[in-house]
Amino acid sequence: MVQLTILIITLVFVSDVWGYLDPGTGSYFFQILIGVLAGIGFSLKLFWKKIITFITSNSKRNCSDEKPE
Amino acid sequence: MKNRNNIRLPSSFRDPSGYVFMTDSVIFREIHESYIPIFNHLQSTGIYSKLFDLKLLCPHEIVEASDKTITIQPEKIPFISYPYEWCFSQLRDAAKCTLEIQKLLLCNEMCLKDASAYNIQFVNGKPLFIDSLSFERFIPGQPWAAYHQFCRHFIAPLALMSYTHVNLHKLLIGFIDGIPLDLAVSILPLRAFLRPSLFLHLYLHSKFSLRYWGSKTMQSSKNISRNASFGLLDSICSAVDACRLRPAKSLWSSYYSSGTHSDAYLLSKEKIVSDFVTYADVDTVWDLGTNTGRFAKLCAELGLNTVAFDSDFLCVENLYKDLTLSGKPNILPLVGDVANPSPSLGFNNQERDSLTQRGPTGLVLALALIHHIAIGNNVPLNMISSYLARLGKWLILEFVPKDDPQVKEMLSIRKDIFTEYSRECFIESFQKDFMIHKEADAGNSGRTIFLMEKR
Repeated sequence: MVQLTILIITLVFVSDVWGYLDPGTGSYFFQILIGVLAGIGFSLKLFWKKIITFITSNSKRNCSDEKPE
Repeated sequence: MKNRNNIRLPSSFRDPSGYVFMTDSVIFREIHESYIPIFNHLQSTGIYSKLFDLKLLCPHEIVEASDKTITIQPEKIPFISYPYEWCFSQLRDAAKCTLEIQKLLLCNEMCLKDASAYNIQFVNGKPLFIDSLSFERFIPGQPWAAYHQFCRHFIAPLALMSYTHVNLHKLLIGFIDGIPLDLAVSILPLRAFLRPSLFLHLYLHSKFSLRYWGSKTMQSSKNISRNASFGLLDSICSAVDACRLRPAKSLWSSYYSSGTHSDAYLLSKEKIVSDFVTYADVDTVWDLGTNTGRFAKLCAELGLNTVAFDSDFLCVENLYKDLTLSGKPNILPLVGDVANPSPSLGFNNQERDSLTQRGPTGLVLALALIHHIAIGNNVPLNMISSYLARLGKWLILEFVPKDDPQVKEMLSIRKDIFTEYSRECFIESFQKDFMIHKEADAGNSGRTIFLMEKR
């Protein structure tokens, strides 16, 4: 009976298998929460970088086009 | 590597992927069968080579391989140091090294499975990650398991040193797995949390950790995008950058520049130390009470691998910055107090070695130090002698007599109970543990420098 109870408890409360480091549940949840904001921020940063690259490459091309032959 | 002389290091027991052992003073790392697929992946994709080339990871060579185990031999680390012995800039550089590795790994669909500050050692003046098995595959959607550990080991002590007091890194001695975030938050001033990254990674992180500690309800909703992982890493980098050391002055940081010592005295001392070091013919030196590192640099120029200790945090900070700029690779500056040296710590007191356990070194340099230990800390001369004899084979010691202005100043506001503090008693005490080879007067200062060899 005791063994059955332990088995049920083990199955009910089964959790993720982490490496040898306990990430901490609060910390885990916190990352998911701020991850949304961080992800949006990072996407905007990438988008901004692309705009800058586009503008600078265009202006460089224009400069080289304007060069006298 | 089945050898009778294999000694498993007592500090290597947490990671199930492998362990570190020593054979004839050479360090090896055995990799268990479970980690071999990841190890092979890191080898075949060139991630290890990339990390070696960028001088972020300690290089290793495979010395033995089978289906069940692989044995690697990492490059030798000249001196093992611990985060509670580092100055602010060393801890910050170690944090940046860890984050740089994590970023590179994420780009290659891998990640760090732990972010312990003890995985970093200083070699050739730069931080180097030493645990070749700290890597695992990045599972899309899963948060970084080592995030909490990184905040405890790096962000919390850096913020405390930056915003509260520079000596608070010593809390790392009491908390071997990093400073608890709630403790850091309770000590930090409110202005620290005006920095959004510190508010996020320390304050909010701490509150969430306490609120949801042990909760199972959130685990079903796990999902974090790849961009979120990179964004989070960027934000952690900002938190590290938000910690800066405020300009400060300490008792010892301007010791040599204050003009207390004449140039003639310092030049004479340099000549004597240089002659004595050449005579001792050793490879390693520990400079105790290094101050500006003047004599540690002299030893390094003579080709000795030098560890320079000072109990004054700012002296170590200034020396580390100076060495980073001048590029002297064979000096490691560390915070250390002879009157209270680093203890052995961790499980069974065997995870982190005490200073004595990391010795003995070839030569101990104790210049203008003995009066601080004997008079400043009331340590009897015979006890100082026996302790220094445990630290190294050779000793260069400068004896500062009682009529020296420095000693007079120390005794000016207290009763002179140091009847045994004399040149004669000093020689008598030290001759029990050492053989005196040479002695020379340091200019006209009245101080004498001795070269001694352990009996």
